Amino acid sequence: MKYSVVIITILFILGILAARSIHFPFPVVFLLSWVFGALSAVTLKREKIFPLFLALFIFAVGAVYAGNFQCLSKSHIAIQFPYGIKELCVLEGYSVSQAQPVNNRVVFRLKTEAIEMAGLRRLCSGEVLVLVKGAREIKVGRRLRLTGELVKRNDELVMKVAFPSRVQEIGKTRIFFMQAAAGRIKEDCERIIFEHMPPGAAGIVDAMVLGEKKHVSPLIYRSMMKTGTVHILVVSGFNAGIVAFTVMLLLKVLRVPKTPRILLTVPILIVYCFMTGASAPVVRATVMAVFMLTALLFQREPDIFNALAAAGLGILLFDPNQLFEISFQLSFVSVIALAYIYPRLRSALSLTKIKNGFARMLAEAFMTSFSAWAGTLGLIAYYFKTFSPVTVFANIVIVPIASFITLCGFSLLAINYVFPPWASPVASSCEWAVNLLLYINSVLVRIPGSSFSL
Amino acid sequence: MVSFTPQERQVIMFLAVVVLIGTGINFAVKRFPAAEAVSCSARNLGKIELNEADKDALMSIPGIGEKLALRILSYRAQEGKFIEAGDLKKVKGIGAGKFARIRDMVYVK
Repeated sequence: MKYSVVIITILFILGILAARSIHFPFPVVFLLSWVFGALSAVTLKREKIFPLFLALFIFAVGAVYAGNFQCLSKSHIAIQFPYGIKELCVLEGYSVSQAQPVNNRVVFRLKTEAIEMAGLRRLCSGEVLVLVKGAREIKVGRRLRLTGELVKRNDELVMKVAFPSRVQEIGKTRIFFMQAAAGRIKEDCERIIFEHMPPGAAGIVDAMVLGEKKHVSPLIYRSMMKTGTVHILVVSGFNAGIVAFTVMLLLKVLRVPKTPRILLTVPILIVYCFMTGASAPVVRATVMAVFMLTALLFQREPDIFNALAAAGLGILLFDPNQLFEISFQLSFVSVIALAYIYPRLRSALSLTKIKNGFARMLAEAFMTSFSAWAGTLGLIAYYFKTFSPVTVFANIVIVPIASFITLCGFSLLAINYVFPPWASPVASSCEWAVNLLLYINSVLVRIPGSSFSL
Repeated sequence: MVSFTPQERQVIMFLAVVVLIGTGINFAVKRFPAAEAVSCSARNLGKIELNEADKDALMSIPGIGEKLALRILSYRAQEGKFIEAGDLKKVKGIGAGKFARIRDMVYVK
């Protein structure tokens, strides 16, 4: 079957959706999944019945998996304190995400281990969102002791810390070695970017190359939201492709044979994924790139839909709740739209028959932008309550410049290590491309009717 | 000798072109005042110019609401143009903390 991974993923997703919307008793679904599994095993050699039982089995596995994920352990902080704590408490644990500045606070997630209140200490588990007033640098994997209020907000427990001094670092925790290496490399890369460019432009390059948006001015972010071009600040498959290509090229120059070249590229892609925060779009791009490389290794024709489905399944196995996250939905819907709508528009409008090369390129760029816009239109209107007719045009102009900036950003990092005197001219090109992009965006956002609030 | 695929040749060409463009820009910025002026003004793209901003532009800055935007406008009308971004601290409601948060989003020509 050509789209086997796609079908498995869709059935798994349906199972998650069923578990979320219909509250079946867990033991019943668990038992049913065993029944369907057994029936699949019994009918293994029957061509007609086997697919049906297998489909039911995967659906049930999806429901069981999501059901188990929704069920919290007794030690989970949300079970122990479902409504939060009204007095000051001390929470111990380690940071599982890098702190991001939001207005005058920094926000990160903490994996809890113990809680102290009124002189009593209890062990606990589960994650909470932490809001610390003021500026504070907090890296992934730091053991922390926070003093603040634990409140319930939007069905989630939030630890509010009033002063940065109430965040005590009490050590480090053991994190995955690739994640630790990624943290160190990222710091070094950011240092290079900010050394060679003024803060404004460096912030944009940092976001495009390393997925770190904390240095992007909120004004720029907001104006890009209005023109529908904010996606260029997210690390995508293009970035993963550049990393894979650069590593493969370097290894080729060093005369490393093809198979070890591919095998060496995969862990580097995983490190890059950690460097950029391992958010849903980055994981999707990395899994897809690994899938494509593996297909190359086994000399099989890579299929984009199977690669996309494998990426989706991988993320959902890690956390089924990602299915309901905006970043997951936008990332997958935009790629599905590009892979499904664009080729059909291209052949329906006979774009390949356009003889003039420039006109063909322009028409293809328009159709690519239109496909992504059409695909994500509903989600953007639903979540962000905005409709931007200028998006299609803005993307045609801005995406090529953004691609140039991304390439320049990677070139800057690579050249700084290989031949530092060339870093300055590369940084200058990059800075001017960023300025051009911001200028065009500021012109587009001023066009009357460029965006509407719904 | 390593033989390069067409894509790899494109990469080498891209790097050479980027270095060339950057070198040209660096030279122009050093040699011609106009290029330097463009470079300086480009660094303020995405920021709000305090002497030209209207109420809506000021309100687009996170942390500035309608009241504060009106106070900035009335300060500008009474006291004249802002000489530097730090003058914002003279406006009632903008302390050192608030100014530190919005400093990177405003500039004065």
